[in-house]
Amino acid sequence: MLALLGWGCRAGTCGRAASGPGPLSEEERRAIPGVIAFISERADQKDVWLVKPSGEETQLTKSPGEDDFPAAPSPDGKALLVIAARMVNGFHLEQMRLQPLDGGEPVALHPPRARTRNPSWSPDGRWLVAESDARSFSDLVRLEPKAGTQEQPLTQVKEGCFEPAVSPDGREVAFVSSREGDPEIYVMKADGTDERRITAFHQEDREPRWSPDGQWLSFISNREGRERYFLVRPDGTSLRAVSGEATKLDERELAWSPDSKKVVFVERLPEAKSRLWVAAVDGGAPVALTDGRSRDDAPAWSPDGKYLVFVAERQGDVDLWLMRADGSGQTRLTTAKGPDWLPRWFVPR
Amino acid sequence: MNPMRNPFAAAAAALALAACGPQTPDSPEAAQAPSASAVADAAREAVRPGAPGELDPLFEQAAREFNVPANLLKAVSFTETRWQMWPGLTEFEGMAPAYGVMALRGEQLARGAALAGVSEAQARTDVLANLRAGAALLSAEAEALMVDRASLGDWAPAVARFSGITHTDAQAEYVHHDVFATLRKGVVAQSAEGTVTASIMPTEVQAKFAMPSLRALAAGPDYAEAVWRPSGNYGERPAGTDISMIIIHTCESSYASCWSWLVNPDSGVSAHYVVKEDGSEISQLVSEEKRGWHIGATYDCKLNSNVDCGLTGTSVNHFSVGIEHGGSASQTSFPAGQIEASAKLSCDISRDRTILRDSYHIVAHGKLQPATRTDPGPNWPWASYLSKVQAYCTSDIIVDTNNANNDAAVAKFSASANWTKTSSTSGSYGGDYYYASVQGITDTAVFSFYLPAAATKSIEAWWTAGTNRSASAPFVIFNAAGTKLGTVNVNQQAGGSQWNALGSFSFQAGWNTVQVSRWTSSGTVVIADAIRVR
Repeated sequence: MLALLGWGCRAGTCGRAASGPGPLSEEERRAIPGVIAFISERADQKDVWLVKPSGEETQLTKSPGEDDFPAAPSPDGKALLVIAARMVNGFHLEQMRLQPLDGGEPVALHPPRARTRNPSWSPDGRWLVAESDARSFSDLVRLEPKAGTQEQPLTQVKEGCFEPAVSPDGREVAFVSSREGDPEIYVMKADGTDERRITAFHQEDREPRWSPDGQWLSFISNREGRERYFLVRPDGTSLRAVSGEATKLDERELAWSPDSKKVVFVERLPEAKSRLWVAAVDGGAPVALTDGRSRDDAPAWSPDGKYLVFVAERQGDVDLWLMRADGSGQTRLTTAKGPDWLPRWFVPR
Repeated sequence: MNPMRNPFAAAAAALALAACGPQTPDSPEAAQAPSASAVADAAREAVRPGAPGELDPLFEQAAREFNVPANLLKAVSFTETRWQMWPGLTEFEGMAPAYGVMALRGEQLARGAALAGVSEAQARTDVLANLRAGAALLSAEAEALMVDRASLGDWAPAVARFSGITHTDAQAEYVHHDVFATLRKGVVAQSAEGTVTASIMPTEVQAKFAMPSLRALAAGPDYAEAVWRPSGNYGERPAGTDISMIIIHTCESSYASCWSWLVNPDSGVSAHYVVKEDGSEISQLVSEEKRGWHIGATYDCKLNSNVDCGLTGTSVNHFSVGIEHGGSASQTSFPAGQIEASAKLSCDISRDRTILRDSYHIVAHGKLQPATRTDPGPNWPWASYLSKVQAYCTSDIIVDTNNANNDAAVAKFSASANWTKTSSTSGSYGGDYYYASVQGITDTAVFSFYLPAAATKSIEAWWTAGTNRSASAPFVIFNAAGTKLGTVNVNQQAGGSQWNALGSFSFQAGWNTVQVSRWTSSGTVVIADAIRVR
């Protein structure tokens, strides 16, 4: 363990023992912008809740016998896409719904089906791209965020297309396709034409994510025998590993900072623990934000890029925690019994 | 690591290492080294957070109190859980979840707790209470069967009853090949710090119990290396089904308990395959053509921190093949032998059924059942597992310019400092490539590949095309003795970002090479990116 602690994080300068006194003050928390949607398991079923950085919670969805997962906030900040999952006669069904934040009735986008997931919004909020099994094992469809929308197929690949990510300018969609026998990253125009292949390797390349300025794509690959994040220009050039020599084990759950200058990600540690790292996109050694003594996961940036929310299993429960983007001021945000996880941080309107 | 290494030597080595100061923790992936012995793996598994530190004194205490042989208690515990505290996960409806190092479940747990004078909650979560409850149960079985407690072999029927297994053959397998085999072989587990946490010294002992039936066991109908133990718990797949997925499960029980439950007509569940903890045996229970009943329950995501699990979920019995693995989703690592055997099986299924070998088609039960299942758990080594499945299924060797991407046993690349590494042109193989200016000198970039035996192979090359490339870049092919087999000149201004055939050549056993030469006249640079040997 000492060997790991030595990297990018001198003893006493990061994680729980970080600079700055203890947890964030009430005053500081009240000044943090936005709201965080998350899954809570405090009831029998999974529901979506909202929590402000100050700690004030409200329940957004409540449907007994059904699990709701927060997918993606709408670009106008007025609604959240929710994936609702339930068992019907032994079949698992999923439905994408647009849940208004003002408490209005959710709008179901399509009838329940076996697979509908990973939606990604256009920047103007007029359409989105998602995985669907409507016509195949898994292909990408483009649809409008309204009831009974027509799904326009964007791909038709028997082996499956996955994990669409609409570019920040709305012109392109990065995605994964297994047509070559293993997953590779592709980019196509938002109408499904002009595909270009970004990666070529006989191992897995998955999870394409645009930097908010559209200059980079991040993706995860097991090409070196472990799961590791790489950056590449959207034309396929300038590929490099995010973590350099800093991490040794599997990485997961990368998130781009709003200014596109940094990425935060998780390194899996032995004994089911994990640790958060931040890396500057223009290079330099990544810095550990947490100390690796517990399970810290699923980081998400505040809209102003000054704070992170993350999931931590400390004090005997899985909760959301807040910290400054330098790892200081780690503060428990949710306290209800039962796991709270999958945070999505956005500015509601 | 010597695959046959003595577990006691392993423990001693670990102790010696521990004396040299802090160690970098073993990666969970590192635990999958193919040559590691199952026993050594078991040793690595034995310590997990919040779980037992030193187990030996606790085993001794519980065994003494209930007049049970300590080694027997240890061997039963090792067979059930590899000496880990199981948290009580559910895999099959109707089979109560197993708790603690003794894997006590359901009424058995209640009875054991009562006999040991502890609460059920204590028996579930406290190591000593769990061991005492287990010892009390074993003792009660011995009492009922009037076992001669001084004779280790006489305990076998009590062990069989303790297992809860009702299938006669599975009982025999459990007693002879698991519990008593463990006693005969011995096991040592050590903590990350190198201290011995639990150990069984090898004992000469024979179980006094009916041997497993001697009738020849048939090979599985779809996988000849499997033992065919047909289950009646299956249905027909819908007409025209394209079998497109492999689902990875853990049993939340031992192998014998697992397959015997899945062939029990009362269980209402099945899987196509079950892989034993050490990989030494696989059972096939359902023909791949048929619809197994391995998915159908709901899942609990709280141990599965991955975002994916939240957004997924489907009932996929009709188009998938299910592989169960003896063990638990809570395991901190999986034995290398089990991963190897399972990867070989997944390769075979994927080849026969044309299933893609990627993480969208070889999937965790927990990922697809995001309501109450977590198996095979956060420590299933997905990256190396998928690599192994692919490696078993392809005889291709790919040599990339980035040696971090290469399987060092069969592929390596080298070039002098005059060659420049770059990723400035898109479409390179693996993300980067090397270039060098054309010059009348011998300064090649060398792709080396290892063949265990002489063979004729076709060679393909990958480059990034561009107008400044040589129109006649020389690829020179040598055998392991350094004899030139041929030169192929290619136009690197075209044919970029794809495999281009260079031809077939007869290679020798050993390290053969394909070299990119700078000695050519046209163009300004030559490119070395990757070669494929098929």
